[in-house]
Amino acid sequence: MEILKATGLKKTYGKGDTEVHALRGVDLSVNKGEFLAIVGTSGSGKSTLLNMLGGLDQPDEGTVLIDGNNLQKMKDEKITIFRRRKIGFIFQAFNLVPVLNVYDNITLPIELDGKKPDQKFIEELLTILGLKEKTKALPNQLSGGQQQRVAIARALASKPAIILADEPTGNLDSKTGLDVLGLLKTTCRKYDQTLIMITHNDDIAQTADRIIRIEDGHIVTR
Amino acid sequence: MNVKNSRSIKKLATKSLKKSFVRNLIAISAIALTTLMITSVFSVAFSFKTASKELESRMHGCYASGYIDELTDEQYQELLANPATKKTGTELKVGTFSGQPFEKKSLELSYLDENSATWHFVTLAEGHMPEAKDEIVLDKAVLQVLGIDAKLGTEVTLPYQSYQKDAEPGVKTATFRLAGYFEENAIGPCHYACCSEAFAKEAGYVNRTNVVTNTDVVYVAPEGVSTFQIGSYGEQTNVSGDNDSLVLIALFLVVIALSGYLIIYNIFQISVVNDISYYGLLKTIGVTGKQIKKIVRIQSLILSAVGIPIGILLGTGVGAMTSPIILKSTILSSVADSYSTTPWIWVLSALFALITVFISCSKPGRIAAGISPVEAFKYSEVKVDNKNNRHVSGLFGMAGRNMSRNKKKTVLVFLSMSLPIVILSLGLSFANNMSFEKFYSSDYAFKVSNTDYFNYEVPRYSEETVNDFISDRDIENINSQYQFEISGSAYTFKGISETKEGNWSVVTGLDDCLFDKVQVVEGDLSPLFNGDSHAIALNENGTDFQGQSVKNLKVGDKVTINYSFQRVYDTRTGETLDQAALLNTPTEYIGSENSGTSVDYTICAVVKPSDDVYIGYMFMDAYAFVLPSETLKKDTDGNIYRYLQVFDSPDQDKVASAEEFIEDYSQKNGLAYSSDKTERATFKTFEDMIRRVVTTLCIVLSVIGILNFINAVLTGITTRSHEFAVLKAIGMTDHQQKRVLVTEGMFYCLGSILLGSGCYTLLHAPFVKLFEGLDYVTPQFSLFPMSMIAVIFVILGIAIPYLVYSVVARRTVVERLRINE
Repeated sequence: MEILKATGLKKTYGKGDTEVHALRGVDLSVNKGEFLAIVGTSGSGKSTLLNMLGGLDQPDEGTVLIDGNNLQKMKDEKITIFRRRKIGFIFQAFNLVPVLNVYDNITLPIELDGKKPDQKFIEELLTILGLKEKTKALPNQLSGGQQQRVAIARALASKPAIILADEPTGNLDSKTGLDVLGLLKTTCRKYDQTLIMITHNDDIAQTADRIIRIEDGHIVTR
Repeated sequence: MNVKNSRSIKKLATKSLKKSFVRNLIAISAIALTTLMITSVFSVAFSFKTASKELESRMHGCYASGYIDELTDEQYQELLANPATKKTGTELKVGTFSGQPFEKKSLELSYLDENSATWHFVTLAEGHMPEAKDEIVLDKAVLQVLGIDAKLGTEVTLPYQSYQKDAEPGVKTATFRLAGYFEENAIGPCHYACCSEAFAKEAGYVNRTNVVTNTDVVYVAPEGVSTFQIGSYGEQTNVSGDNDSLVLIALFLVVIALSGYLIIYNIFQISVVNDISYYGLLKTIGVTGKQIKKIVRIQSLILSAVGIPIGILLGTGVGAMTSPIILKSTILSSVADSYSTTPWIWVLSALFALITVFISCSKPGRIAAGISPVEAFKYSEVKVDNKNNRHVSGLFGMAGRNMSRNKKKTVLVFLSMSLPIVILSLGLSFANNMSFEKFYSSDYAFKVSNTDYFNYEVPRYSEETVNDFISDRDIENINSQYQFEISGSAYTFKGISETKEGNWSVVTGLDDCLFDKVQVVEGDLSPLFNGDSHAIALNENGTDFQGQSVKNLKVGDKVTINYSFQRVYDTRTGETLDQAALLNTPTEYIGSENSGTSVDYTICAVVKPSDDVYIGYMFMDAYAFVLPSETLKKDTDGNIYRYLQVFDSPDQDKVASAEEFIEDYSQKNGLAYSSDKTERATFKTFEDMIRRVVTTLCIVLSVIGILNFINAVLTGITTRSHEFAVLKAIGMTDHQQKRVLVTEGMFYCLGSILLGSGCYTLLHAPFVKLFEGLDYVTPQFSLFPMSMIAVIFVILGIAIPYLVYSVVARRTVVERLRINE
């Protein structure tokens, strides 16, 4: 079943001499439960693509459909709400809220939605991700690997349709990186989550169901 | 290692300065505003000094430092050669006249050369100085007294008594043609009538040389000159309150510098925090902390170079406008137009402003310099308290948690925003609860005397020549217009009255009709009116010479009062010394003797006379007694003077209609009066002044408080802009983010309002106690004044976070996220 469909995505930054064509017409389709790796050199346009898929950025042309919803037809406020319900973001820099403890960070998107978190599900996530003992810790009391695991839990907490990860292991050493990736894959499988991930690491990319390579704003291999 | 890199530092400083146009504009305005306030205070202060000097000179009738009479040519040359001599002017004194109609202010007939004329405030409104022998220049007041129109060429006949020693005694007259007239020096000791040099030479004169010296230092007179009076003009005047105003001005400067500091500090603080990653970058590439401090300092210097001149220019204007207004409300009101333009104002203001700017920038500079390159990128003011990890939920919880990030800043905002609330509440609870009825109540509708009396000027003692403050003629004139049912005088002895034991004693003589309002505390008044009883009433308002109220005297006690005049004389010759001669007599040869009478009295009553007629304030620490005026006159051989006349009538319509006449009459005849109306005006001025001071202070403090608040919100938002982007990425809508920020803003405002009203509630009782002594004011507890500030704070508490966030949110989430990666 197709969960994401992007057609004819184009994006240009700047004007005149400083013009940069980040995307020159990208078509992409992802099925539910699929693990897609996006690879490419720095500046090839992969982050732009990911941001566009998550509604953080708007394309100049083209559309993104997630679970049948056209992101280009929504207003900014609505996209934000859509994002907290349907999309989980994982960043390279973890980006946890420094003043909130682990538990509050994880449940934040749900609470922002004005809903009660599914206690049992959160407990389960904490157990799987090895954070059971750390629920009351603040982000600056955690190691990088632990912080990224919290970020994964946060992305999964609202049971989104799709998870977008921008080099989630980029800030971690390779052993920790592999551990975290393993957990990410395991949880996505367990909850039948779709995962789209940018990575530089070929070893990690090889574990994906499908790899696409972006060069100069085009998808070159699928 | 000393590397020549100042050029590159300057380049960095100017380049990064250009980057932030809006910041520069705000910073320049802040610097200009601070300088403006400093400059206006300085120009008011200097104008105060100029005005004091002007007042002193005007009171003495002459601007010169001193004068010397009858100099020989040789002595005159010597005077000119003296380095302390700046300018001299010639005055040929022909004569003087102090009889009718110049009994209140005498007329001086003199020839004045150009310098002397200027120094005597002779600035012609029309006409020219006398050239022909029969020409004369007079002041407008003289023209009015003589009933002459201010028309050039009019004939004027003036009386005078010659100054020449060998002249025949008696009043002469001379007829002149009016050549010009000028505004009267209203506070001067006499009127000047300027005649021509030719007239003076014919009539005979005393040659006086007026001298302006370079310094205030008295210098040695040419040999053989005994009447040397350098420094004598102005010597006796002491413009009181001078020190008080200096303290006030210093206080003002400190408040202004402090508020200026807070404004400028805030702006630089915000801009440094904004640019923190830029400074981190500079450090990464090898710019030292010291050099970063220098960059900040150079930037502040450039901004000052623009802001300070603007501020000085505007401040000079504001100073010129406010000085007369401020001077008018002080004892210097008569010279309120004097305005100082010394360049010192600008030099001092610029210096003061520059110091303020440098101090303000030093801490932001230190923050910029102290940042480590790695930290710089993560700088978000986050000092998360590791212990404070309790579960929080909802936007409220987040807002609260955010505020505890920088506790010092939060406390500063609370304090600086609650201070104006407290000040305004206390100040207005005072100003709004002043009662005129309690402030002033008079037993008589009108009190008329001269201006000295109402200015609390102590009359000269021991002078048989003291005149009545208000003459019989004036009283007759007033009573002939309005037949006042109550019209009575209060008198006192012209010389020194003291008890046998040496206690000063003020003996007040009251006309019989004024005894109606004398309250008897103990005893009986009737013996006072019983011919030769030698009874006297003790005024319970009196004090002994240590300021203690009189306890040791009681009804039935005997007191002996000496009424005496003091004569000061030269022990070598026995000659009486006048003021001038006194200065030239060595102290060991100065002797004094008292002459007078002494009377034995028996105290028949302890009384409390109406406050209106008591002149106790003129004699601190003195016993006070009351006698019928006739008795006092008899006991002192008639040496009494009337210091006050009161008028009253049971007919209120008559009182109301008389007001205008008395006001007009007083003005025209050199008198002063007080009534319900005049006191009400004084009271209103006082009330308004307190309100103005309180509101000004409150506005300044509020601005500081609000700036601190803006600073807190602004830095709180800009340093967290990445965090907000993250929150948006995980699904926190703009609306929710604004709600968190507005909640934060409301916490600040409500917290301050609560703190402020709490402090005010606590301080109210001690505040009331503080003013217990003032019976005309009872501060009432009221939260109303505070609510005005509260409304403003609440509006700002919502608007500012909202606006700032909107500006931050203009950059896309992607952009903001990228900044830190």
